[in-house]
Amino acid sequence: MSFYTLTRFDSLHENCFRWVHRSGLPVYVLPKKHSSTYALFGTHFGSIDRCFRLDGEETPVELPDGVAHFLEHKMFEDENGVDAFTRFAKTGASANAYTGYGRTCYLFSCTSAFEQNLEILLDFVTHPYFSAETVRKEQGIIGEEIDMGEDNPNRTVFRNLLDALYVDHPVRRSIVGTRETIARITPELLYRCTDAFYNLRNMELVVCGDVTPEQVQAVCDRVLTEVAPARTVERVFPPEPDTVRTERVDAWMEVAQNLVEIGFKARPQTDPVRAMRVSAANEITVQLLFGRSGEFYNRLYERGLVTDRFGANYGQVRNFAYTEIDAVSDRPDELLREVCAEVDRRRDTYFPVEDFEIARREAYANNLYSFDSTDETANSFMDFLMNGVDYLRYSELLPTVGYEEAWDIFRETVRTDRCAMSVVHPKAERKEKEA
Amino acid sequence: MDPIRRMICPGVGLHTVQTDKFKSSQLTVNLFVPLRKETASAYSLLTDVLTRGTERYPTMRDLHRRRDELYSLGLGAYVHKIGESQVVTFALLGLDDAYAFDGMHILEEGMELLGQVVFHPATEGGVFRASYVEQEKRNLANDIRARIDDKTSYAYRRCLELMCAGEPYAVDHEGDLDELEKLDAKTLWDAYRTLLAEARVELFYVGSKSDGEVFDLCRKYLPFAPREADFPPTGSGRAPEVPRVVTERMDVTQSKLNLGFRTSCRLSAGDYGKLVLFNELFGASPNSRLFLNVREKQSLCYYCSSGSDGGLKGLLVVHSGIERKNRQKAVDAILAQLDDLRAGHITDGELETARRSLRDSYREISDSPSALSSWYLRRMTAGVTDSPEDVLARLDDVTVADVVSVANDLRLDTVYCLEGTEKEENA
Repeated sequence: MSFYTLTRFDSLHENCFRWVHRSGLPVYVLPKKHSSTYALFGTHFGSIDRCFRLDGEETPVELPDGVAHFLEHKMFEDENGVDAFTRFAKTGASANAYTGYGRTCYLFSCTSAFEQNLEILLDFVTHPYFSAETVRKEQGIIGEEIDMGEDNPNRTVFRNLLDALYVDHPVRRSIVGTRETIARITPELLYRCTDAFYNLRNMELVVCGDVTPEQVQAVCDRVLTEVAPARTVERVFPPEPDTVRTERVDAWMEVAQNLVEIGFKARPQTDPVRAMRVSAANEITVQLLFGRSGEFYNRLYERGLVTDRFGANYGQVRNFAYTEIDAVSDRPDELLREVCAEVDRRRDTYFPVEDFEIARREAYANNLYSFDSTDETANSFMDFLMNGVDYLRYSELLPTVGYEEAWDIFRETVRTDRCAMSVVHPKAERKEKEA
Repeated sequence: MDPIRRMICPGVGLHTVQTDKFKSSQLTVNLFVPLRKETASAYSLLTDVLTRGTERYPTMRDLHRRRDELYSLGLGAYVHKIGESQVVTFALLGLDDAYAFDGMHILEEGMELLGQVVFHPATEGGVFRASYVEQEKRNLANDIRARIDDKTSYAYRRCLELMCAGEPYAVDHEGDLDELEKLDAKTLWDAYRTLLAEARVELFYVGSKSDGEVFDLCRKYLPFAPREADFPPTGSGRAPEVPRVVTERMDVTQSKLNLGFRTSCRLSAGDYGKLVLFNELFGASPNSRLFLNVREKQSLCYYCSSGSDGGLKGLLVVHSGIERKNRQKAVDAILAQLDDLRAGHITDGELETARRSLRDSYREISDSPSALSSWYLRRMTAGVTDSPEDVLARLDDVTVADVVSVANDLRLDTVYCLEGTEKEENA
């Protein structure tokens, strides 16, 4: 008997090997005949995990903003001051890492020495080392990164939208934190986080490329020799109402035109299978309402209310979900009125069945495109894994979403009484007004 | 994975890479014209107007709807710069026919649509529709103004613009506001006819179809007439005796420091590999001198890296994000790393690390249709045809002495700094 389960997705021409390594780590191998192999090692720990109880402790640990991201940076350094990048340099692989609201991922991409690279990845992420001195140095580096983010208007307009939509949910807070919050980070705090969240049972390994499950298993056996202890981590989240915190947030920056984001807060789905259907249905409906071939976008474009910088999508990250529209527009209030009128109209008058079928076909195709690179395949797979969903199953399911089902889900997830808008205006605009 | 190359007619070439690696197929149509201030804005605007509507699909909505029917066919047009060529590219990205659940021939239908966009635009009175032209002018003007939104790329553009002032390279390939203002439906139509008739045309296909099939489809749907057109040449400039120093201010938190250099190394020469290796070692990778020393060890920059223009014009730019008060220290630190390389302080291990990192990035090219396309197109303009594997093989011959010679050949031309305001000053 083999150690893995093989699932074939014939309509997609894709296969997936999966198993749980004896250390406790869930492993997924997606074979693909490319030159490059891509490996992603992730933990269910992101910026929203800022309050938790480990093994039933009475007082929960409260983290200042930016810890998950800070930890990601520090993870690369070992007790001898050697940077994991230096180790990857010897193999030629390119390595990186990123932190999101609900996860932290470490990755490499290589065209040779796959086993050696995987060994480095598994090794450095499972061997945290923090000292007062290295933490202090990192505070300076990340401080600069925070400053740079403040100059990025696209990031600001999105962050302000989340800040408007949510009342108490930690997604309101910055992923990287501020200079003040990261100043409160200590080695002890970081070790508490690795104890809780860098436990192999709370992590996922996804490999996509021209490799076999046996190759991956052999490296896991070599590096992950200890069985991860079973620990209970209870994440504490404040209750979040369905309503938005505020309907409007404005900011003024060095931009040429107004950047606009309009969001609809949705109730997150707790059942993974249901979450998958809701995502699929929304992916189709969002295209119908706001897609390039829709009546709505074209009417507004002709009127000059929007430009080709216009997009809409639905997203769920663990325990928050929203539909978001981003645009560039010199008349944000008019745009908001149009968007809300369209959403209200579609509650009673949905689309012709033919239009629905074309949108469904479009969603199906867009998903298939993502299988063209090992990088996108692995990242999409990890995205869904973080919500407990199988991306390959999702891709197969997309063409089966029903018309009535999609309409019902739309009425449930996109509601104008849970809507907010964020605008970043050109600085010059404010100066004119004041003058 | 080497492409098959053939001419469709004089001045119109086709590359085909047949592979079953992807679920999609990609075809790009690339029109090469000299980069000039008088024509750049028109060609840039054309890409927007041509994708507004065609004879058969006259509105943007008709066009998008047709694309959706064709399994979310990607069909875009944009301009970019290769050396001193402005390249107008139409890109088609379609799902492979094997994944159509109704037996549709996606590539063929897609090429029919692409042919519509390139050869049969929506017109009125024999020229472009005035309403489309006016609206796209406004949108493009807004996009040009919006470049300040991204400070990193804005500073990089400014540095190149100042450095190559008076040379075609300084012309913005996306257009400028003054030239854009002069255009109307008639003048744009004339530019369109000139472009179709006179540009050097290169088509590049990656997908499951054979060279013969693609050739036939191109002849049927993309009827370019024969032309006498070669790739526009790219000239060489000289660095001034004393490097130019330019400072501009903006209300941002982080300052952007750019150092522009010139080199005599060219892609067309057999020893181009030494520039690539030098760049990798100096600033192009996370194991480079600039990253390890200026960013990590000295903490003078949040990011600090170098990039070359691919050996066409012979430019190499170091870009970094800094605190304003560290400006001089950062300039000194970057130049100190260069001096160290000039003095030959390079270990074999360092060189090997750079080689390995390049090996990986070159091998990854075959995994991406767009990387393949841009690899060969750049080379064609310089008259070379070598594959990533060919270049890799030659990298093994590059020595420490070669890298030192590139370092010594580098001339600092321009120091450009987009200065922010310090926190204290805001308070």
